[in-house]
Amino acid sequence: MHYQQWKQDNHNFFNDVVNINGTYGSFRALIEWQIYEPSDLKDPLRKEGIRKRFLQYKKPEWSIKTGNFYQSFGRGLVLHQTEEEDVNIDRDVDGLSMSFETHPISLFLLAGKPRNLILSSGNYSVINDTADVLEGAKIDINFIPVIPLSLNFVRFSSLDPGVEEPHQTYVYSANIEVVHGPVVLYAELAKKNGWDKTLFAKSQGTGFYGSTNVFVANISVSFEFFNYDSLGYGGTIYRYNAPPTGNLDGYSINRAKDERGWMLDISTNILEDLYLRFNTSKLATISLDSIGFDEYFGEIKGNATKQGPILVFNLKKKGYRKPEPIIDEKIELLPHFGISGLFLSHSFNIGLDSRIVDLDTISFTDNGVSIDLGILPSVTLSGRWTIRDKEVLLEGEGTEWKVIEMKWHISDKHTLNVMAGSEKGGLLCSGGVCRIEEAFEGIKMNVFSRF
Amino acid sequence: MISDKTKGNITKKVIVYIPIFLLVLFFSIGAEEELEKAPSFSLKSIENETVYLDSLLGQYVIIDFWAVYCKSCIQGLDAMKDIFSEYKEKGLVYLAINEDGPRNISKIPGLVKGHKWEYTVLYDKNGEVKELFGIQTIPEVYLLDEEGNIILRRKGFIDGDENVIKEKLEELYPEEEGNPEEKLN
Repeated sequence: MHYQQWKQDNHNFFNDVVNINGTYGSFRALIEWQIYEPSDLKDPLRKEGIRKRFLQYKKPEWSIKTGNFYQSFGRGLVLHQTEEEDVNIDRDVDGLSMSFETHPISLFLLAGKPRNLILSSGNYSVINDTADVLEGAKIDINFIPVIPLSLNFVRFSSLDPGVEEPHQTYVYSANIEVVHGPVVLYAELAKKNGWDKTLFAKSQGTGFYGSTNVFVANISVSFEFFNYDSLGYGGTIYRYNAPPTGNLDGYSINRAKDERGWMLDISTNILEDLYLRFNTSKLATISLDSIGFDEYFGEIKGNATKQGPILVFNLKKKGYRKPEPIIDEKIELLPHFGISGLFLSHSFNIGLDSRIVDLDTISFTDNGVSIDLGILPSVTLSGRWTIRDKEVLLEGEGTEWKVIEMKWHISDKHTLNVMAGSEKGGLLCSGGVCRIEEAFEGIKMNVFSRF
Repeated sequence: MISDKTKGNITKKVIVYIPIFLLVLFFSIGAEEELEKAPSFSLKSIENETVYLDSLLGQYVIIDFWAVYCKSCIQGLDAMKDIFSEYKEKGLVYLAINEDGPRNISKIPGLVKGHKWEYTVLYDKNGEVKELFGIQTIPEVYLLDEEGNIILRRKGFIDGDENVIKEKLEELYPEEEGNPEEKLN
């Protein structure tokens, strides 16, 4: 059970989710009951009822599932209906799926209605509330064990307003993954044919994604390359495929409509207890090089003494070219210093962060400090304080955010989390767990329970 | 503006739900807990081998849910590295189940090798195993006994948490007694 209650913009919210998960022999069932009650009566997503449910029958060689499920094919060039917690998007399919496995071949089939749900600014919204239907198949062929091959196919049917017959879009790909000693190699080639819902015309698309990783002499080197030309499908604000874009932030310009780029990552633990990492990536549109994203990241992490605290320093630079129609360039510099360890048997974690932003004609800086203290083995107290040097409307309201948080591991099965103050929002790793936190002001209480 | 009626509805629901929750919590904590069996699953490893949890019965197994974006998870996996090195010879299995979607999967082998993790890293790219275990936040670590029962569960990671797991492993794998003659000397 997950219970949340908070207040935002003069509205009260509470969100209560109960998961009932049952297994009986080869059967498995799940019901997720949600009560989401914003005090705003006009909120279209006020609801009390079943949010997700499925029934599955699973044997070692085959299975059948009906209800809500997640599914991706390959690296997401053809299908990516899965949850992306780091960006707060929950995509699933409501329908039927079947899998059969007989060595060296396995087959997966699906049909259903996709649903893309986001939680933003305290509100749930289904961004693809349409009559779209997906039908898909995936075949994994393992004739040569070191070179497994997969073939992926999806037919997307969309019924647009004013049209009697649904339009069809076909997306298919083949991928191989080679794992041999210190080398990992992956390549996927995809094609798209048929109706393009965003252009309201027929179109063709192609996509390629390749990655390699080599580990030699304690140095790990990874390289990714991709080129997606009109491969994205779905609507204007949602996609049913979402291939990788290389960078560490999962940033995408237009979700496989018109993107190409690469990423290089080098990391090593060559010196005892000292970890070094360097990462750089480039992303641009194929049609216009003036739109893009470049990223550089460096990190050094190690113990100050043999049993001493862990020190970490990293620096990230992100450069956006034309991120919004009204912004030509945005550069962000993000230094971070952290120290964590034990002091008198109490754990501590102190972080200093800055975010130095240069927009076309505006510059501003966020400076923040965060502290986690394990005051008791089951109780962690955390505080975060961020100050912005000026008001920037493009980045939301406010110049100061202060929050205090207490996490109590009541038992193995129950955790209580209470936050009070104001939070800027984003990915937070505090009190030992990482989660996306929406911007808010007030008191927030989370209870996680398992019975 | 929030109408008084709406405010009243919310307050009523809160008043009803909080005592119910506290009551269930009270009885749940007080109750003698039976050992819970971990749900069985099979997943592909980064070496492209299928790992079946049921095939690991007879060994102690640690299951650690993590993702690339989760700093606390990586901190926890780093902290467990030396402990696992000590116990893997004694038969401990460490399954590090990755919860990243397909967009981040290619970053995993480099991260694992760069950190010199010797765990069995598994891909759960459709989140099926995470759902089976009812995971809401990561990291979350489970220790299973030889019959597949959950004997320890830790949510989150802060420095020092690795010692809780280490103490449990010390109980499970008692030090072999040395040569009695050496003791006399």
